[in-house]
Amino acid sequence: MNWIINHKKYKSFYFVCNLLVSTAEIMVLSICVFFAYSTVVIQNRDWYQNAVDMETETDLLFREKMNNIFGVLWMAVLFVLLFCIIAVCMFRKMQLEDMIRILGIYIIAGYSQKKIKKMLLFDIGIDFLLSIPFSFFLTNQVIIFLSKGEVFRVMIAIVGSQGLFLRLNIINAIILLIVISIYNQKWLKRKIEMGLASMIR
Amino acid sequence: MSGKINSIRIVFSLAKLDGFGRKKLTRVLFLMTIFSVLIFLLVNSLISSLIISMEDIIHKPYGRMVNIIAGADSYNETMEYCKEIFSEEAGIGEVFWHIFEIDVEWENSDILGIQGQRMKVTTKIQAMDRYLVDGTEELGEGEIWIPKYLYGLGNYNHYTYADGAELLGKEILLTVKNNYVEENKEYVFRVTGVYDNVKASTENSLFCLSERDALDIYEFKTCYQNETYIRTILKEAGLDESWEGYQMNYESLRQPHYIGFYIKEKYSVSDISAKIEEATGESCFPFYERDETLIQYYQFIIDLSNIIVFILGVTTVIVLVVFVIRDLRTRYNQIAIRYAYGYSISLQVIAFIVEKIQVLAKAATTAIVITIVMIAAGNYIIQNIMPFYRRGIVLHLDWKAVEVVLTGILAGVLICVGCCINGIRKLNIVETLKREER
Repeated sequence: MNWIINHKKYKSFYFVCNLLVSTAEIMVLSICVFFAYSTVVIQNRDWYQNAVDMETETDLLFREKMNNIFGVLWMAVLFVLLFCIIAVCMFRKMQLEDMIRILGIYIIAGYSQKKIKKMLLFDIGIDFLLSIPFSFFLTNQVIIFLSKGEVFRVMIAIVGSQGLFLRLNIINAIILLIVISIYNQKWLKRKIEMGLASMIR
Repeated sequence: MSGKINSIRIVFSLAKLDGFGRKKLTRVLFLMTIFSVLIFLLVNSLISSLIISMEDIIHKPYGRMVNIIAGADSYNETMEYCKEIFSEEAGIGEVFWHIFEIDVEWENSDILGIQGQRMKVTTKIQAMDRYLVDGTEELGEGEIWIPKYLYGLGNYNHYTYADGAELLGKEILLTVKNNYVEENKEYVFRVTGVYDNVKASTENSLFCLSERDALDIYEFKTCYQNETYIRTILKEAGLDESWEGYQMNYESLRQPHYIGFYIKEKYSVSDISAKIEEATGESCFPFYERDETLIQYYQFIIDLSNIIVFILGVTTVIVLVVFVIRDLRTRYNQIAIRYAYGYSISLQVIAFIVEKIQVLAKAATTAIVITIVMIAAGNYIIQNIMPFYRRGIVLHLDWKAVEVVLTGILAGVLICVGCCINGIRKLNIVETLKREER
């Protein structure tokens, strides 16, 4: 734990950047999931169906395009999710490369791999844990911004926001943590396989 | 002069050497940039395609049409007046009798696997000529244009269709029912044209008729009322039931006639509408109106997407800054040693910046090229291999997003320069060399 605290204290710039990146990623993931969930909920509502039925009689614009448009949006959401995971992994890789020497020394000093893995997990876990309040706050700001539109207000009223967003933020942080933890383990395993000498060089 | 050229040569050779020496790190920066630019461009292009697709009706003939109501007793005079005063108006392409879509029964609709399919008829306007895929442009009386893609009708669902071109030259039997009395009238039309209803953004069940035929059908369906009906109305209204009374009130009992104006592309529909309103004293209304609830819903989706893309952009910039700072810190020894060998600090900083510019430029160019190829391939598939499905969306490259990317790359380079200058200031050459010597 002391190592983690010292690491955060003396590498405060990285710590702040890490907080910013994880906040942004959790936030984007939460908004995307919320949006996807709301879309499904709303499309099953009577008012939406009525709107669709009404417009098909008076307007040719949206007729037949609904499914395709939502297909395109889902594709965009998938791209965004993919990017979030890649960005977090690459950022973590940069940090791990910085820690490579000290980790090598710990292994030589007799710390087990299990302990080092735990240490790395706690290191990133603290960042994600601290990111959740920021992410929650910023997500709420986004909601306030979007609440200009009546449709969004209706959506919030139907789906609910505060509780759901908090839960989404926590769940997304856990998912990202799991992904990063797997990445940490793979990275450490690969480095140890390459040899301790190359780690402490 | 030769000294300057020599310096440039040294800068590029150092940049190349450092790039090769740090292949792994360069790859991370390259991939990170390429991914972010690619996703940014793709998301923006998809969203802008969505917006264009939503708004495409304003570029289509029936979406650029406005109407006025001509007085029931003087509609012919109103039409003549409109034709006269708007003949010189550059923004108006056509003035015609417009009938709103009228429900008709297509009796011999065997091609759809059923008989008696409900369809709609309207007046064909000249601007529709560009959507003709088969047949002749001239549409005379007794002739009809039908859609090429007859989907979602009869035994067909929204993703299967009967080809209207198969009916070219054949006769179509339409039954029109009067709105007021149990009276039907049959019309026979010869198919002389098949238009692309997907490209024209018209409905799957819209038949186009000549002005005269469309007006006949409209008058039969809504205006023409038989004598018995008229007498009933007159009686109910407490008016004179005599033949004279019928004659006198016939005109006022007629349904209104609509005069349609096709507004040419590149002209503002609202501006021309205002001119028409001013000249005729009648209020103009568009043929197609969008549902506001859905517009708001889509606007919300666009706002949300923009926010997400913005957050992703910020993330990328943060990662980039960290990467550059980290990279520079690992080079302090190298910079000090090179300084000892006679390379100036400024030369090395420039080499570092050039190295990063090369990577960023390569990544951005690759991402832009990949996006263009993906969009072109997507469009090729949609437009050529699956032409029917293009009714959904046509992909466009968002050039504004490309501009944003290029600006972002420039910002990245500036950040890179800032980081270098800030990092180099902290470098103590003597200490670093001493440490290296130990």
